[in-house]
Amino acid sequence: MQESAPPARHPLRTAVVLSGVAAAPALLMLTGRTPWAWLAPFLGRYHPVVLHFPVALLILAGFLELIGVASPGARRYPVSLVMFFASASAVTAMALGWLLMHADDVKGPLIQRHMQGGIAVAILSVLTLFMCLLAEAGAGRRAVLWTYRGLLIATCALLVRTAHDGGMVTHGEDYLDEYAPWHKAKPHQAFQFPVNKPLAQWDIYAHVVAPILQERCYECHGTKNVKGGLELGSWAAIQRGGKDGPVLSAGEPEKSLLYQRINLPLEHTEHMPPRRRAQPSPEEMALIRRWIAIGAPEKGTLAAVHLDSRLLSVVGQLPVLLSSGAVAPDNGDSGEIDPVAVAKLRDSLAATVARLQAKYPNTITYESRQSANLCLNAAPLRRNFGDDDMAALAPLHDRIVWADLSGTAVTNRSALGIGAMKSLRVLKLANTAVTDSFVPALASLKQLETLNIYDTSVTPAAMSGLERLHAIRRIYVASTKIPSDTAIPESIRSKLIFANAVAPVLELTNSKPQKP
Amino acid sequence: MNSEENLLQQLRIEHLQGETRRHFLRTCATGMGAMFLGLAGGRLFGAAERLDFTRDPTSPLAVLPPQFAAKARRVIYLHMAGAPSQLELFDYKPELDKISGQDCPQSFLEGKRFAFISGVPKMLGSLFPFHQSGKSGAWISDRMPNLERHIDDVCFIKSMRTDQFNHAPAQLLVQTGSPRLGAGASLGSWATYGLGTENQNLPGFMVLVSGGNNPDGGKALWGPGFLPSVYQGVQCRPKGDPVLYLSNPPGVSRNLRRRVLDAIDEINQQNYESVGDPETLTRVAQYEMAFRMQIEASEALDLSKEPDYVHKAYGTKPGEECFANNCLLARRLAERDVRFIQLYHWGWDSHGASAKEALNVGFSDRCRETDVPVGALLDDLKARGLLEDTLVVWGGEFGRTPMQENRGGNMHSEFKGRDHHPGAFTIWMAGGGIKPGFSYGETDAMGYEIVENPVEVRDLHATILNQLGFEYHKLSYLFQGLEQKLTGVLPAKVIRDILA
Repeated sequence: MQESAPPARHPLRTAVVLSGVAAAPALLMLTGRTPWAWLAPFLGRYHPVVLHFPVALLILAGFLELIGVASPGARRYPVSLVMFFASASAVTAMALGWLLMHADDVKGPLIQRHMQGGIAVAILSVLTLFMCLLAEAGAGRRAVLWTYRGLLIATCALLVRTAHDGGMVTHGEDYLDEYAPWHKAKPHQAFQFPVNKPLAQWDIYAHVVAPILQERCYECHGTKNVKGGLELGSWAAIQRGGKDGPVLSAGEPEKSLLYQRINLPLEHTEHMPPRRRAQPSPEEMALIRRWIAIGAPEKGTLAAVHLDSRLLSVVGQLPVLLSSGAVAPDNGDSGEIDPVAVAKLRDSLAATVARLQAKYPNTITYESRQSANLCLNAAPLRRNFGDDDMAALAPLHDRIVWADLSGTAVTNRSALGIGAMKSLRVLKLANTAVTDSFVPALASLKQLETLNIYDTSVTPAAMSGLERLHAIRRIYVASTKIPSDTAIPESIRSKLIFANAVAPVLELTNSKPQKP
Repeated sequence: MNSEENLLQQLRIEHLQGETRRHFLRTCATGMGAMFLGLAGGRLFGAAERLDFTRDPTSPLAVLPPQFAAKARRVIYLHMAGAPSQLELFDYKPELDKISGQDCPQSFLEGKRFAFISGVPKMLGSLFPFHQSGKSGAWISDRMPNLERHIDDVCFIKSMRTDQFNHAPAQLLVQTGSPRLGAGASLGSWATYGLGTENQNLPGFMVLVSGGNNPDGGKALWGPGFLPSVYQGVQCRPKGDPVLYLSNPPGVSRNLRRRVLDAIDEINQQNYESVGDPETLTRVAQYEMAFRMQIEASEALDLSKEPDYVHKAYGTKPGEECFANNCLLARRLAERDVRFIQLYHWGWDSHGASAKEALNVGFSDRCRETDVPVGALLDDLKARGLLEDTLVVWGGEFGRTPMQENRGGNMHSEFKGRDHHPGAFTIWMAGGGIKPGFSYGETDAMGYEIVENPVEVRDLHATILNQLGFEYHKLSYLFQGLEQKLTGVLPAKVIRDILA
């Protein structure tokens, strides 16, 4: 016990010193009115450095004590010395954390819980140290010893929770298990997209800007976690701004912090969202810019802004983006695609894609070298590809944007699987055994533009079920049981493509040339 | 003599001894700089990164994704060898009709070279009446009534031009990007090299020839050029085995064939292990594909599987080598995801030297032979939903002059004809993300020179590659120290105006 002798002899003095450290932030808070105003935020930034000491040391103390309990006869370790440094650093980390919170103006329930936890850990660790010293100093009653051990367990447990909260503040809520197999993208606030209305009638804030902000900014500027004092969760909150003042300058995107910060180069330290996070696409940035340019209104429809077809198509894909977490498909010729986002999306399913590509060679391919979307062409496999194979592809369903199942052995049993391919734009089922009962499952394919049921036994009865496919442009129905004069709603009828009824001209009308 | 040599040698040794480490390093530095520039400098100074087309050598036709999302997944190219006259089909020139039979103005002849025209030729108006058709109001003559049924589906380019005025080099230029034999890889070879093919039981690039003659450019038109030979077009035959040596010889069963192949594969494998030439693995892959093709290719190329009404619509002649059969085959191959389907029709070289070569006789026959099947092909592709991702291209290798050809000074022959004209010709494209019912480019009142939006052959190629999902300068192959491209070294442009 030689090493821990000094604190052991003066348990009270130790506690006083630590309380002094604890009081330091209160004093530092006052520096706001002194020439050393820079000191508080400066020191606050060292919170993430110092906090590792209490985490490691408290857990080390716990382990050492555990060894002591497990083998009482063995040499006892100087737990009190470890506890001394643990509690000293816990108090320091708490103090610095306090400074950081105020300097960076972080708000929200998450940070509140972290703060309370930090204070509790600091107090508990000082108490634990006190009991530890008492126990070692020979007040060796079993009651003292077990109180000390109980306190140590409680401190460690609280520490883990507090550290985890802190981690979530910095890295986001699903940082740890983002790549775990059980991880599910957290459910978004359910946006009610008016999918039945034309895009021009969508609200620019509620249906366009808010979903984008939620997708890209909410992690740190939501209601739960409010970094920099900035909350972007509601129109009113955005108007309030953050610690650097208002973030909107109506009508002037270039002067609005909200747009400035996302528009900075990725390498810039002030760029938002931070470099490691998913970045808004150029189209999303353009949409936010337009919204600010027209005065950042709370109400108002897309009809008020003139969007080109590319931006409109991005808007049309927002419901999908928010339901599956997938990046909107891109039809562009080249460029303008964020390779980082694509690489991240590809990585998340790379192993599955590789496994299924090995099983079905030349059948599953990326839509392009710049895309994480997949194309499925099972047509060359003919009858060797059927419902079981469709089921095997289930992990890829929401990435498939183009699927050719013509001439395969796929039947109505695959209806649900195909209904799960939410990003599907082209679906070819020509010359398969699918029937009318297959069609209702397609109602969920909001992106579907082309449906090919050539040479199937689908009847006109199934057609009305397709009315809800608002993106549909062509339905190939030649050689089905749908006659060209069939009585079905005009909205669908105009999309149907029948065999050409015009007879070919077999003889040239005038086989003699005109006189030149 | 001897002492002189010794003296020189001694001098050299002394000189080398005088070289210090410092000298050595200083000399090296220049070399290192050059090496750096050679290796990293290219990238440093903005040379774009090359796309990677490497594949497992045992599956050289494995599918690779395009550079960007493609509008066309396959191409049907209808090459009208001999160069059909744009002035009798699509390029309506009423002013030319008015001065038909007059002497050609001197200004048309100055500085021009013609294949056959000499002296002062007469102008020749269109032999066939034109009219406007469809919602697009495009002008078309009465020679192609079935193409006319699809006039709102096709996009005419009336301002094509080339720099070759003889058939073989002009065909080579259109098909391979280079007028020289073997100097370019064909369009279909590039497509299969870049994208592979999804149906591994059929070749990715198939060629169907009709009209009784091979095109003048010969088989180099579908050759792989500098690309590995596995990317060359596979020619199908109208009779017997559709692909040469595909079926087993008499007395050889499929089982025996399999065992023979296994033995050959094993020997090849041993050879590969000792020599390490990847071409050996390509050979193994070729044998295996041929084995798989035995069943699928015979089935795909068997027209008897089609019902009667289809045969009637295309006007096929079973057992003959004709364009109608080939159009139906093209649809069957497109359905089976063959990447590039190349058709050749022959006999469009309407000089007027004989009945067969006359605009007023043979030309009409060519129109009849091709018009019904092309109309049926477009009908079929449309109804089956194939046209939206299949690019159909129709065209010859150059155009024809607005002057009548006066071969041998005979102006009053009963046969009318026109000479080769590289300065302007018309092609059309349909499907595959091309704007339907549209006309691009304009020639002057005589149909002689392009006055608006000239399109070079390399621009056409760049546009086709764009529809297949590639920037034309990204689809490249390293050969003889050059990044070889279909479009060659001159800058090309994608004709954005004709994209849907």
